[in-house]
Amino acid sequence: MPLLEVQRISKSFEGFRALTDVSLAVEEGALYALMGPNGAGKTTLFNVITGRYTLDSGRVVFAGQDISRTRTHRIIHYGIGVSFQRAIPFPSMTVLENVTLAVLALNRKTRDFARPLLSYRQAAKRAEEIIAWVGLDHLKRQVTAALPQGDLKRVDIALALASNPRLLLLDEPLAGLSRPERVQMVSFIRELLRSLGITLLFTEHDTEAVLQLAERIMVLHRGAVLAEGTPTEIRSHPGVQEAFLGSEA
Amino acid sequence: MKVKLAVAAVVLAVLPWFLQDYGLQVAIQALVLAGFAMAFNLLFRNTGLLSFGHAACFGTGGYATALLVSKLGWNFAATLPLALVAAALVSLLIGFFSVRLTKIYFTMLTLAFAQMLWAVVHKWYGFTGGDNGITSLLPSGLLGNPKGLYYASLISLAVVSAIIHVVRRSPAGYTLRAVRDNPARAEAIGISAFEYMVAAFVLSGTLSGLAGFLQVAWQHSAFPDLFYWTTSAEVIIAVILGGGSEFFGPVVGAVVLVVLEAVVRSHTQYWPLALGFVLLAMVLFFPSGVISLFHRRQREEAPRAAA
Repeated sequence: MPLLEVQRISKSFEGFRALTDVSLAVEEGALYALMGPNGAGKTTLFNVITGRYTLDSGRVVFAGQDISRTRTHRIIHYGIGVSFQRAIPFPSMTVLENVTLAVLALNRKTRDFARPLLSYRQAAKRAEEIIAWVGLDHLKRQVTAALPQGDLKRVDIALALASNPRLLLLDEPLAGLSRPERVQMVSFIRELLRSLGITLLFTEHDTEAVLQLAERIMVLHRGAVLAEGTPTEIRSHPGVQEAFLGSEA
Repeated sequence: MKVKLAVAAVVLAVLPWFLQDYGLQVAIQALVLAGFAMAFNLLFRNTGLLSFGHAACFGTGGYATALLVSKLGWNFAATLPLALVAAALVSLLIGFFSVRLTKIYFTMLTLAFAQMLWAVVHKWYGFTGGDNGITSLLPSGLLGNPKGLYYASLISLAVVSAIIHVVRRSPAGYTLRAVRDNPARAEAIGISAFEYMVAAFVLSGTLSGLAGFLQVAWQHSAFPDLFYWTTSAEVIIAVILGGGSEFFGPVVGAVVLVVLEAVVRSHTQYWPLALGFVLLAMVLFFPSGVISLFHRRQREEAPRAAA
């Protein structure tokens, strides 16, 4: 059984069909990419899966549970980590405060109002561990507002990892990064998830980055599935070449 | 910070012994408004929600006390718990419906709620006395003499500040700031924003009710203007004047506002005009409030240190 199954999803906005009959299955341990030009429906599909949008028809099943109509703040507790597009962490807090808060949110401790945040030693320790994973140990006492884009992405991924996820959902994790930062981020994500055994579903419009990072790719075009397969299959798919040459030339 | 706070505490503790009767009255008024402004800013600073209806919570605290004393003959101080409960309930009602909205819509809805309550209090002669208000409320004991009321107000301000400080550092306080900073991100770490916003509104409103209680103790009466939009505006002005992004900014703003009003009114009847000029100058030249004047040197040194 796949870890995440999207079954025949459709979604319209005021008559505009953003997604038509899209299905996909992500196996446990996979690095799965949703690819396509801007406006292809990647982010819409992402937001439907993460519970930000309600779907018109179809189903989303995670680990055997129907999460089609489950709101974002609940799916986190099922073992899904989320990082939205252009998502920035909480700028008024330090890196450590950001991640500690996320750890406490997972443990449903955010209603506590009597003790200081960082006096929750176990949560803070767990947060430090996660911060070390994403390589920001030296910045943990910095206020996030002052960090450069590449580090912000890492903090945001740390927030997603704090949900202790089996499945990590990243919307455009490479957006806003320079070319060298992209290459760095791709290998960083791959190494990290492999060592943690976390399944990844991400969206990206940079074809090269997707082909480097993903093990399986779905190409969306105008809200529908154009192709699905391994990077090699996608590379040689005639429809994909046509769509991408058409939109990027 | 700790040194400044200790100095301020000592000054405030001995102040009544250096003030004449009128000065003491002004000082009490400043402390009451300071507590109200701190309570208001708990919501504004931590959630970003600008309430234009805090007069409703303030007025409810005041009127609950006034009604219990005048109708049921309760001891003045004994009404405090019920005044707080009443303010909490009204806050819950307003907060429950208002925090679903953001920005100007939230502000307008809170204003509408407060004005509705004002209209009821203003017209319901049989129960609230309408625009005649409730008068001749004479607190006994500590609250009955000016020095006692001064210290009661000072202690209230200290307690309110301590509560806000503790909550602000707690997971719940950080959660509020997370929702303010980035609501979508907060959802995606597993937080449902709504209940936290309501809770913040209720705490802020309840502490505003405490200020309303003290206000009635000070003026020995309750009038519908406790609920009127000008009361909400006054607390907003105090916070902007002092600096809403600093912990004690509202206290500084309240003190400046009340003292300035007392001074200007003793010379001229054009206080609103003077207030207009002061606000204009503040917004143009010191947008982060009077309290920023105390930090100017640090602020100017900071960029150099970073460069």
